Amino acid sequence: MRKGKNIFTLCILLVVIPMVVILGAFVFREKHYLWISLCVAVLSFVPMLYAFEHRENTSRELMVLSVMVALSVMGRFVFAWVPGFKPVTAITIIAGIYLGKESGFLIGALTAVVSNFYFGQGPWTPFQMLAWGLIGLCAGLLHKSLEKRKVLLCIFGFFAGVFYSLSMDVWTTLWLDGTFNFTRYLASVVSALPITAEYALSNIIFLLLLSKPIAQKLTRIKTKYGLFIPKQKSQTSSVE
Amino acid sequence: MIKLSELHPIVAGVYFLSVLLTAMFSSHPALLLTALVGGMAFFFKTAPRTSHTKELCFYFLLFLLVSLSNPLFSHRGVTPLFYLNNNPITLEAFLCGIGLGVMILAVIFWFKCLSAVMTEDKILWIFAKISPKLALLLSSSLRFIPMLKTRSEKIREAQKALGSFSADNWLTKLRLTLCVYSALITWALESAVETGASMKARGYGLKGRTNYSLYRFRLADAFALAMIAVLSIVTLSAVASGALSFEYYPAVTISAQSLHGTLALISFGALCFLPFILEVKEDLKWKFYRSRI
Repeated sequence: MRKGKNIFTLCILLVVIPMVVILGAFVFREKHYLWISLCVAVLSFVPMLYAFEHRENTSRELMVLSVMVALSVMGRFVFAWVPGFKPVTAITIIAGIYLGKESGFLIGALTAVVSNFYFGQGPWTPFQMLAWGLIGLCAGLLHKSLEKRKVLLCIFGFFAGVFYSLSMDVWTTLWLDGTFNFTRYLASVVSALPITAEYALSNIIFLLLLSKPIAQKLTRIKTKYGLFIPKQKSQTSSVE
Repeated sequence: MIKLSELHPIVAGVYFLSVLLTAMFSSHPALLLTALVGGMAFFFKTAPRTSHTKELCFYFLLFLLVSLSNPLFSHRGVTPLFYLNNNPITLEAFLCGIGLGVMILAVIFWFKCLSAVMTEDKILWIFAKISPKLALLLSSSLRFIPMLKTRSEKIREAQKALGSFSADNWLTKLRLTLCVYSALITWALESAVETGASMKARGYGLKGRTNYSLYRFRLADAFALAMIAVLSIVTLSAVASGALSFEYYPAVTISAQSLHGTLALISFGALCFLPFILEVKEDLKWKFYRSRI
């Protein structure tokens, strides 16, 4: 039963999905760049989801993840009175550093979906998910140096803001032109410059303000309840 | 035929996917206009009648921005209208901009219809089929948000009552917001662990889990799914074969009228307007029954 199901999943992964991508590129010939980029954005979640689905998570860890998503969406409401000044990226980065790269990816990606339930879903949702997810993932990968040095954390926050803005501009250009029209990309990057600057700046400010208290809270929760401990460690500790 | 909102979530999902993909990926003006008018008709029929004028103004501005700015980015085309800084502003680029504006509005309106029809429980139901864990995460964070909202209000009131943030300037306001947010995080994390413990105690992860929402695949769903499939295959095959191709550059060229193209236009029109027609039909039925009481 279990094996049959795995083969079925493998079939979908190896046969159906490439077929959809190729067929779609043929049907929508004029805009095949857009089609493929949309497919890649959606498909890049498949391995992450697969890994997440097959990993043993305690219900406590799941609830901590979902409350982090809710908190980062709440950041958009709590700071609604300052336009554009939102702690979402900062929370994703901090979560990535202290809860691990996969948790960072999930929290970033899910924040995009959940907050778009309130602010409007659109074809941009997968790209937002991917951009925020990747920011969380990278924060998790670089956690050793980001944890220690605040300067590096600020630089990372700055580039995360720039990366988010630039990648959303790529999507706008692809959507409007079907191909990568460099003039339009440049124009949208330039016109979004104040917003990009605000993103980058607010990331730095929020990282400076929030990283210490949230780090304390997350480490406390982790040690208090033994959450998010890597596999090998928990095995050795159980042997002891 | 039954209303779109009463269809099985997967059927409704397939419907929106096929309309949205056609609207996003085709460039034929007739298809785009059909999608826009169909989406607007359904949206204004089903959406509550408040604050529509403001939204419409915003979308009109967006449309103007996209269509008027396109000639600035794209100088292809053979009919220059005038020159700006030695760059030709062409008729083709202008027309292409109008097409882009229509496409964007159509996609936005159809996404609004999608949010109205595919309510959160339906989306979660679909997610639960793909990845139960992810659906659990999504649904619990959707539940945590209103809870956190009330809690943050409580914390804010308590802090204000203490009088520590009484000065009326933005720095105090920012400090108050940060203080509330920080307290909220502590509270939320502790209670999340508690929720997790309670879930475990109540048997999370055991076999034989049931769904909150029950959606049965009925005969009407199968009928609707078959119809959606036929209509969208006719439309998409015409898009793929070039029977409905439309080129802005170098000069505006429209594919010669063919039976396939006409059929595709009719079927896409049917696809886009069916939900609206069904809503109107329900309304008339309701009025008719009431008039006989």
